[in-house]
Formats: sequence, C-alpha cells, structure tokens
Amino acid sequence: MSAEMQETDAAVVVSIEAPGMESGDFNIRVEGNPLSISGKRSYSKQREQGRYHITERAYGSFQRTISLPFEVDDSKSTAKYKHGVLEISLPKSVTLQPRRITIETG
Amino acid sequence: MTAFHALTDLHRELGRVFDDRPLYRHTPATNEASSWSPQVDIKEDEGGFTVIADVPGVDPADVDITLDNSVLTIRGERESETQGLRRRERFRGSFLRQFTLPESVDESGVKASASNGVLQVTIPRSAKAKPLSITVEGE
Repeated sequence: MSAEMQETDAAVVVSIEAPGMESGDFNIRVEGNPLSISGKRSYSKQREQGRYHITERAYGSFQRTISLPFEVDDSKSTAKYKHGVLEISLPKSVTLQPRRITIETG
Repeated sequence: MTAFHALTDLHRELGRVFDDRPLYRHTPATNEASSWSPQVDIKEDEGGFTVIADVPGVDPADVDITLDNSVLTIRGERESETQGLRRRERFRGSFLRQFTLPESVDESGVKASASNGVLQVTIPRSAKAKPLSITVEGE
C-alpha cells in the first residue's frame, strides 16, 4: 500500500494505492495526529473457481498510520476513491493557515 | 541476443506448441523500457484465462492492450502531481507487462475491462480446445 503525502498552503493530501476496493471498505480515522487508514481487500467470489498460475496481488487486511506535519481541521476533511487510489484531503487547522495582514493607513 | 536467450526462446516456443503451458511471462525487448510493472494474477478456468492487474491511479483510457504474434502486451502511463510531496512511495511513468499466450486461445475474443484500479483481460479458449464431453448412447 504505497502512500504519499502532498502539502499545499491550505491542506495536506494523503494518497494511498488501494486497487480493487469499494469506497465503503475504508476506515479512516483522524483524531488530531496521526492519520490512520485501514481496510481489507477480500478475495472475489470468482476466485473459488479455476486455478491460478500466477498470484502476485495482495489480499487481506492493511493498515497505514501516517504522521501529519501539522494540526488539521478534521471536521473539514474529505476523502475520495478514484481509479483505485484513496485520496484524503485534510485542511490545515485555521490557526496555522497563512494570513495576510493589511496595513491600516491612518 | 545471447545463445542463452535463443535457447530460452526456443524452449518457450516448444512449450507453447507441444506442452501448451499457459501464459508464459514474456521478457520485453530491451528497447522497451518501463519504470514499473503492475502486479498480476493469472487464472485459468473452463472458459479460458483471465489476467487481473493492479493499476491504481491509472486512467483506463491511458491503458493500451495489444496482441501481436501471440504476445499479449499491457502498457500504459501513470502521471500524477509531484509538487509539494513530503512523502513519495508510488511509481510514476510508463508500465509494461507481457505474456505469451498458448496456442489454444481464441485471440479474436480477447476482452478487457477496468474498475477501481483493477484491469481484467479475459482470453477465451478456442472452440476446439474446450473440453468436449461425449455421452454414450444406450441401445
């Protein structure tokens, strides 16, 4: 389960390669820090029939725990699953976001 | 090509014709470089063979499957943003897997589908290679 973490000004995006799952199969937990993702890839029913010549693909349970580089706002976190990649977007906690300070002229 | 390669090729060819072993791993020609290869399962049942490949993060539109001279080639490309990466584990760029098909398959009936990052290529057995059951008629 290769995982990557990408940081932008406003958020951190964690991507995990998890082909052959359904979006409901993931269990994502963010309670402050770290982020924890778990799930299970089950054998398909089709697997029972026929015989296998090569089996390189992995099945079963997995878990990844990733330390986040900063405090995130877990209430605004979102996740999507596309082409077998789970992408979790965690916005930076408001206190950490860059603020522009305007100079008052007086 | 070394003598050893020629010998393994001959062995493969003979196996294909006489032994009909299924789906040999085909070693890509040296001019075909790829940065990663997807993991596959190969299943055989009465209907034929199924190649199941994990290609997470690859748009099915970017996958190219060809069949040439009994060699099934699955190739494609995975590109994604690399800017601002704090942790990098995924392979990017082109991928390639090749298999030599046995004589007993119907090359015209090869079909492919993709879902949730899993590519499935079905290769049916040719009609004459399917097991035939003959019932004995009573008097």
